[in-house]
Amino acid sequence: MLNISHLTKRYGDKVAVDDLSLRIAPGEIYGFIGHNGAGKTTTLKAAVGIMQYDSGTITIDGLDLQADPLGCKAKIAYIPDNPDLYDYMTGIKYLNFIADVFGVSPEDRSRRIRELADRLELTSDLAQPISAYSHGMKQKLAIISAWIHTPRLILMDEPFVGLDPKASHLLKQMMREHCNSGGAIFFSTHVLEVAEKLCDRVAIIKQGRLIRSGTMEEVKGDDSLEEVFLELEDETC
Amino acid sequence: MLKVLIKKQVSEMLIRTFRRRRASSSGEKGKAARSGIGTIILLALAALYLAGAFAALCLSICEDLLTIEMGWMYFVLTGGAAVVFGTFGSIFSTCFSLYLAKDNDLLLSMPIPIRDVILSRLCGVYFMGLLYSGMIIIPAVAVFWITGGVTVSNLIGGLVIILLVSLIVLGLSCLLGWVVAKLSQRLKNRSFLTVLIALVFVGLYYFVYFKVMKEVQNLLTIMIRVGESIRNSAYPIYLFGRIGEGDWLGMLCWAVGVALLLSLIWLILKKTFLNISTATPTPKRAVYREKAVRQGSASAALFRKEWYRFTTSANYMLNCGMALLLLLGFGIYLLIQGDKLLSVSMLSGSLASIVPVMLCAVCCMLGGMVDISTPSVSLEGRSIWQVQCLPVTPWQVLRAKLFLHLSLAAVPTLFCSVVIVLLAPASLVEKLLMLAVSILNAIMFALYGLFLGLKIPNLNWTNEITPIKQSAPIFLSIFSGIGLSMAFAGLYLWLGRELGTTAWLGIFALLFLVLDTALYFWLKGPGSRRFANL
Repeated sequence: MLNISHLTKRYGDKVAVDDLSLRIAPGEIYGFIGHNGAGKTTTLKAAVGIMQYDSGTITIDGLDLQADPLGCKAKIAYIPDNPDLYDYMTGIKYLNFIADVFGVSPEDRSRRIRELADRLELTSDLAQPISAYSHGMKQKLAIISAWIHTPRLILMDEPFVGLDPKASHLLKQMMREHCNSGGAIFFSTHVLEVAEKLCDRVAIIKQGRLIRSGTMEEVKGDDSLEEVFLELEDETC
Repeated sequence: MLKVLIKKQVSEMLIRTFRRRRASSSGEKGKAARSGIGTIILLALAALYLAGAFAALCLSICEDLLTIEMGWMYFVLTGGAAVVFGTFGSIFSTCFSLYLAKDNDLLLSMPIPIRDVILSRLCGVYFMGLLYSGMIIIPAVAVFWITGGVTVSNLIGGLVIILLVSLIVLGLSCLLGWVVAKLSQRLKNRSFLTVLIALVFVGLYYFVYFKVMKEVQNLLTIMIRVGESIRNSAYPIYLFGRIGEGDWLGMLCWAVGVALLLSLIWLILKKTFLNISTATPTPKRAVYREKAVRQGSASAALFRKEWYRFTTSANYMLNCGMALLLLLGFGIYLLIQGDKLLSVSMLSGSLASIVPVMLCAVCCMLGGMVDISTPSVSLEGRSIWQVQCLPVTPWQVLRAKLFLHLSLAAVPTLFCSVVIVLLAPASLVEKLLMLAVSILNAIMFALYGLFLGLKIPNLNWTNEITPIKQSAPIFLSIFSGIGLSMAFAGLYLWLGRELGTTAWLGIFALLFLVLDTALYFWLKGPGSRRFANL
């Protein structure tokens, strides 16, 4: 679904992502963990086509991101760590905007908005301006907008930040359902317990370099993910 | 602490105004610095130009008023104009930078005394007011010194009146900004209502202005009568005018008055700042009801997004769309008064020949003042990631911004252009060229605004007033419009009359067409790539 090969991104003299390669298959929830500034967000932004990179290739569902950016973007959805949405729109106008851009039919969008907003308990707030939303409500709206066009791949940067426990639980369910129906999810997180319970595969990144990746069992063995992560952090210091 | 806050405030106002994109290498930093210096020079020139224009106006009345020993009336007129201009110019920025700034919550959550937060915000407000009022009162005082001679008392008086005017502007801006902030928390359609209220104020201002201008020809004959009545019934205003002449009593009374006004405002601010700045707007809660929707194209969705952006911001509508009303107003004025106006011009044959170019220049100047597209890139702010990761091309996004500008400017521009074409004593070819110049000029400024927005973007603002009103692209866009139309008219008087009206209009139509084409292709190519990488 997502194939990142030898990705390198520099900011001036600093190498933010260094020769990183990842492969995410359909049906997989892929966790991406690392300390602050390790290069997770840069990798995610490069994978959704909003950040130019210096070398490497990224393909989404067989399409090359640089050769066919629109084709790739039509297959994905992205939720950033801080969902700065269009504050001047109401929730429903925002969802209709996203649905129009992705060409979702009126019937499909109405049904999906109804289902998703009811599920995330946002229906009664859809007529409110986004500027009046709390961080958690914005996050829920971003989740609905990501799911509204049934993307093949969903990329999320710290998606559980700001969500209440019930919404977090729902999001985990939705992620699993999405993968069960053939989609894939690539997300970054600092909550190692969540990654451990939810992910099929995981990658650990440090100072822009991939230091370990594989299935959860391959990465952590008999230890907890937290222990492995901290051990790897110390090892490479 | 206060020093740190003031530093932050100043850097937000100035540095972000001139800063280009984040520079990562030393080469880019050098380029950014040069660009900043260039912008400062351009802005300084623009301010000098405005101050110079006002100085010329002051020169025309100062000597006459001094002759009839009414120097005080000169300061009442110029000081009053400076107060109105300064207050009106900074009222909305006061509201949004003092009460509704995005980082109020952050600062108030820190161990910073509220007093320091207010004072640091007031510094920014004072600076804006001083900038606006200073463009009028400083040249007025200078003209007074040149015309009447400098003495110790009027030297001190001149400096005191500059200071007092800026402080009065500060006080009034705070009071009116407070009213606007209060209103904006309670009203549902506050953007439109704010625009409406502002337009009523502007309408009143122009009504009074035109009334005064109508009487200005008889200024000296009525001035003595008016002066007498001011002395009898509005003595404080008389004393205000006397400050500029170096009257110690006037200085003392007004210094005390302004101190009282500022103390009152300080008390209001201290009592209400926390309430207003931390309150969540509570308009009536809208109830969501599912409605049938029609599927639109991605381009239509992007256009609607721009439309919502424009119509939900009173700042955006007022500061960038006001010239649309001026275009309509100018057209209506010409429709009503055009015959009378032109019959005066027709008295002289030489004047008749310049009418087409002059009318066209005014239309171009007003068209150039419509700057809806200019802040549109910066207004994406931190939410720019959305359009960048959607399956739309950068050009589609830029085109939506362009279409918003053009669709809003189309009717007023066409209306104004058609009126000037109908009224102007010109041949058919000249009329067609006038139409072409006006329309191509309007298109050019839509494209040019986007060009500036892409060249000098600011996506890290904490207050939308920064890209809308206090940014280099806005200043450059407005002054380019004024400068270009003045060049169009001025060079015609100097050189163009030799060439003839048809040739002159033809040259500018061709020039605008070339610039339109160049800007269009730049936006479609390098501009789009630039947008994708912001």
